[in-house]
This record gives sequence, structure tokens and C-alpha cells, in this order.
Amino acid sequence: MKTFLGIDVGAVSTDLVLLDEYNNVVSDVYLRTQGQPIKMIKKGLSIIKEENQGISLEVIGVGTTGSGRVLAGAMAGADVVKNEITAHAVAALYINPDVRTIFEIGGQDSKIIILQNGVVVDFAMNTICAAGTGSFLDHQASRLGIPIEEFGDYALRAQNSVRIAGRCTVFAESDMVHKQQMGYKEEEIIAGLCEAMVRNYLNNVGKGKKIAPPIFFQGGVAANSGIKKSFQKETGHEIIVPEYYRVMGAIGAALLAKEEMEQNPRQSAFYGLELVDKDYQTSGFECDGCPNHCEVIEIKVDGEIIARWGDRCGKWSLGYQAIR
Amino acid sequence: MQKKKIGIPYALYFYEYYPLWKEFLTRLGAEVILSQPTNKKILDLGIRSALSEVCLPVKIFYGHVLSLSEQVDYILIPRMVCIERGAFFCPKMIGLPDMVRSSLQNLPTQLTPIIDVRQSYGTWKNSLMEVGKLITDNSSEISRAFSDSWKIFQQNYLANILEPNLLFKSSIQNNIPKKPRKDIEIPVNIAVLGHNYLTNDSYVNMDLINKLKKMNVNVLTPEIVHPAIIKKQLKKLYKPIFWSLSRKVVGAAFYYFEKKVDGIIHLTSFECGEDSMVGELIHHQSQKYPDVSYTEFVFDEHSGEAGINTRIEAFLDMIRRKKRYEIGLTPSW
Repeated sequence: MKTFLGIDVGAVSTDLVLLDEYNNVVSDVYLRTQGQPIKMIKKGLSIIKEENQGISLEVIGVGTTGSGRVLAGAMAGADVVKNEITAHAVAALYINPDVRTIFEIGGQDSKIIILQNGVVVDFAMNTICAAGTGSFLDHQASRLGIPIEEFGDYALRAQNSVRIAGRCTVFAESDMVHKQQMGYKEEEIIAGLCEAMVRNYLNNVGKGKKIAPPIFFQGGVAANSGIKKSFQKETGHEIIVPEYYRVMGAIGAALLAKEEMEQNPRQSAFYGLELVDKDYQTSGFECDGCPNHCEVIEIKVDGEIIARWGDRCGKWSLGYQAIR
Repeated sequence: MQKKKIGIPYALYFYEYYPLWKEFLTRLGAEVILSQPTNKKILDLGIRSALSEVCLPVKIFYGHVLSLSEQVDYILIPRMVCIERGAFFCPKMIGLPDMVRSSLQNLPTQLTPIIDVRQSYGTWKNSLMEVGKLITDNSSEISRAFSDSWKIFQQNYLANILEPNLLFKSSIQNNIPKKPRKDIEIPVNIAVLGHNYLTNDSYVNMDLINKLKKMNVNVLTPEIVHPAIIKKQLKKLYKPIFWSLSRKVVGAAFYYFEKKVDGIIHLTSFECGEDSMVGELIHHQSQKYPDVSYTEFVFDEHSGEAGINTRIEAFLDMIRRKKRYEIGLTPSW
């Protein structure tokens, strides 16, 4: 079977998707990155291998995306390394060519993408603060002792919601403590939190953007039905959470790999599924060639350097570049 | 007699006025030492010594001052107040000599001429003459040095300005290859706007301009727009801009929108008071030009390079994929 592989390495999750030639999802894997992207990419690939035992898989194109896309690209031998905005847009457009708005909320960043006639016309990402992202919800869930998976259901059960300050994670937390001590129910506080997060998102990331339906909601946080409901309430439109919402970035990366291989036909640079058995090492050193003291990162396979990046001047750069 | 060494921090308003001071002081026989372009060491020095609430460019200014302190007899930190009717400098630049004096010790003597053209002592001429007196007693020599360097400063400034039609490299707009094999082959015009201490400081902006050029982008800046055009564009506002340095940014932005460049990137530093207004003005204007893609990049101490790279890539992808679509190259998936 001829396939395309998409890898999305984010701060919180590492996702892999294998598409067949007709863009059907053959395998999809969602793993927590836990600060170990290399280990997780390997784990993801071995899961894919296991799931497809007995089938001969031929990977004819590989795309990577996410904040760890360069590392993933170097490690796997990617044919295309793309930013998350394009990847998410492409995946959503494949599912519904008429999509006009994409809300994407991941672990440490959130984005809004505005599309028109099948192309991205505007986008925004959260700036220097991670308020209103998945990490914030994770943190609050563990503080309340509720598994993050059940967070949304709690919100849906609430009859009323409490107003929580959503501008800043720190303030939201102190506001929550205060409301708890006033005697509000857990459900109401969680519902308030979801609303605060959505307000924060629409006022910051979504500021000045023309939000029109159909609206897609993707990324890990889309699992949270409480957030989905709040989005529906705030925008007044139906919010569509696609089936593969968690791995949309990886689907986009696989589609982009397909596009790339069709436009510029060639042999894929993929190192093959056997790479799970290889020994990958990363190391870093501080270059003292100038006062910038760049942190240079090297990635080695079985002792041989295959890529190096991180320097500003480019004297160490080898293989994959952050920007082609 | 040994030459007097005067240090000039390569930061903030000196991106604008360094050539004038350098010319003037050198003509009088002083040795002008410009600090190194911003690097990690300078940034660290600045962050450690400046007030925590000020914007990144001011912190960087501190770093440049400190990096000069061992090498020079004097450090030049003009108090920039007002250079034209009805417009002023950012309060942080007006208070810069005081901020530096109150938080940094053991510095060489600071020269803090006041540029405030509303006052007779604050005209460019009188202000520079004041500094000149430290170097020589010959006032006719100082006066001559001023008029010569002023003339050169003006000439060089205008020399950077391109004919508006040359801005758009052989009218790139109509120059898209019929079947570009790769997105990167589609040439685009992008204006990078912002205070020139952001647009020209490649350490702070993470080498944005070169990255864009490497990606086959024709980069346009406010500096190449003629002052007369800027002035004309600013008439579109119902009220004049209050800050001198922002006038150029807004005028250039309006001009580039009108010229329908492919994209405009506005650079701003976190906590910049001027830009909180100016950014809104430009954003507002962008909505009148849906064909021109617009985005804003915010810089601060901890802006990671990865974040900026993602935004640049996504911005260019957006523009180029839009163009592909326009010429009928839709993706096959």
C-alpha cells in the first residue's frame, strides 16, 4: 500500500497519521510529547508498524509540522517541513472546502485561521502569553483534582456559570479560589472557566477577525465539550469538531507531503520505518565564535551527524533549515 | 593632544541620527566609537541593569551604553523632545538621560544635549554647537562643521529613497511564472514596517529581513519612501500623529497599502505605547485593503526564534498559496 506520513510534534502532543493514496486515514496516533519528541516519534512509528502488521507499507512522502517540525523532519527524513497554520488549514479544507474559520487550540499556543474560497486570507497566533491554551486547562484540572478528559462534562452539567477573570492564568486562578470559597459548585466554576477561556481567545487571538461559519474547532482542546459549547454561545454559530480533531496538523502535513511529491516527483527522503530501531542522539553546544553564543543543536544517528541547527550565522547549519 | 573618544550607543534614535552626529563630531576632531550591533551579551547587560517595566529597545539601549563604558571618555545620550511642530518623541526617549543616570553607576561623562526645536537652546544647530564646545573653542569651526554635516545628513537620507516605481522590482505583480514548480518561486513584495530600531536591529528581529530575502521576497521599508509621499499619506488621518518617529511608519504603511503590495508586516515591541495606537491605525487601514495581507509581530525578551519563523512561514505560505490559486494552480488532493 502506498502511503503518506504526517508528523506533528507540538509542545504537548506528538501526533502521527498515515494516509493512503486516497487520503483515507490508515493509522492515527496521539501521544503526549513529555519533552521527549524523539522517543515519541519512534513510539508513534512503532505503533503504526504494529497496527499494520502483515501489510506491506510503502511510504512515498513524509511531511512534518508543529513546533518540533525541524527536529522531526531531520529525524524522519521529511520531504516537506511546514508551519502549523498551513497544515491545519489544509487538513480542514480537505474535509470541508467551504470552511471559513478554524479555531485551533493546542497545548501551548492557540491560533485562528480565516479562509475564503479555499485559501487562507488571515491568521493570528497568541502572542507572548499562554493564557487560554491547553496547558492552562491541564493545570486547573489537576488543581481541582479532576481528570482533564472529564473537564468538559463537568462544564456541561452546570446549570449556571460563574464569571471568572480570563485575562491572565494567574488572575483566573485566584479568582477561582475566591469563587470556591464563596461556595459555588465545582461544575459552575468549571463552566465559568470555559467561558473565560473562550472570551480570552476571541478577544485576543480573534481580535478584529471576521468570524464566519462554517467554523472548525480542532487541536487537543477540542475534546473539551464545555469549550465547544462556550464557543457556540459566544459566536452564535454551530461549531464543527472534525472526527480527527486531535491529529489535524498531522493530516495536513501528510496532505502537504502528497502535494509536494505530485508537484516535484521524486524518491521520498524518508529513512523508513526501520528508523525506530536506530539510535538517535541529540546534543548541544554553545558556540563561542561571537558574542551571540548561539546554542547549536546536533542530531546524530548511530554516531553520525545528520543535521545541525540553532546558529544565527549559519556556519554550523547542516541539513534541515527552519525556513526553506 | 589626544583625541576625545565619544561613544554612541547603536540603539533607539541613533538608528536615525547616528550619521549626523558621527559626521559632526569627526569633523571637529573627536573619535566616535559606535557600539557593536546588538548581540546576546549586550542584551543580557541591558536586561540585568534596566528597569523591568520598560520596553525591550530601551533595555537594549542600556546594554549598549554599558558595552561602551570602558572604552570612551564621553557617552552621547541626547534628550530627544521635539523636532517638528505638533509632534514629540516617546516619553522614554525624552527621559532617557535621566533613566540611564539613575540606574547606571560609574559611567563616563554623559553628554545630554536637548533637541527641542520649540526652544532656542534646543534647535539642532544650538544643541550640536553646545556639544562641539567640549571639543574645540573655535566657534566658527563648530558652526561650519554643523552646516556641512547637516547638509550631508540630508543628502544621504534622500539618497536612500528609491523612485516609487523602482520599489516593485520589475513590477513583480505581473511576473509570476505560469507554472511555478515550488511555492518559493513565486516572487512577492512585502513591506516590513516599524520603528527602525526594530526593523534594522537584526538581533532583536531575529534576522527577519534576511530571512525574507532568502525566501525570494522583495523587502520594502519605510526608509525608502520619500518624505513628501509620507506627508501626503498622513493627510488621510483626521488628526496628525503625535509622535515623530511613528509618522514615517504610518505614512509608509498607508502608501504601501495603496500600492497594493502583497503583504505588510508591522513589527512592534511588547509594551510600546506608541505602537498600541499606531498598530491599531494600521490594522484599521488594512481592513480597507483585503488584497493586502497584514500581520503584526511582537518582540520581547523571550520571543523564541521558532515562534517568529512559524509566523513568517505561515504568512508567506498564505500569500503564495493565494497567488497559486489565482493563477489556477489548485492543490490536487
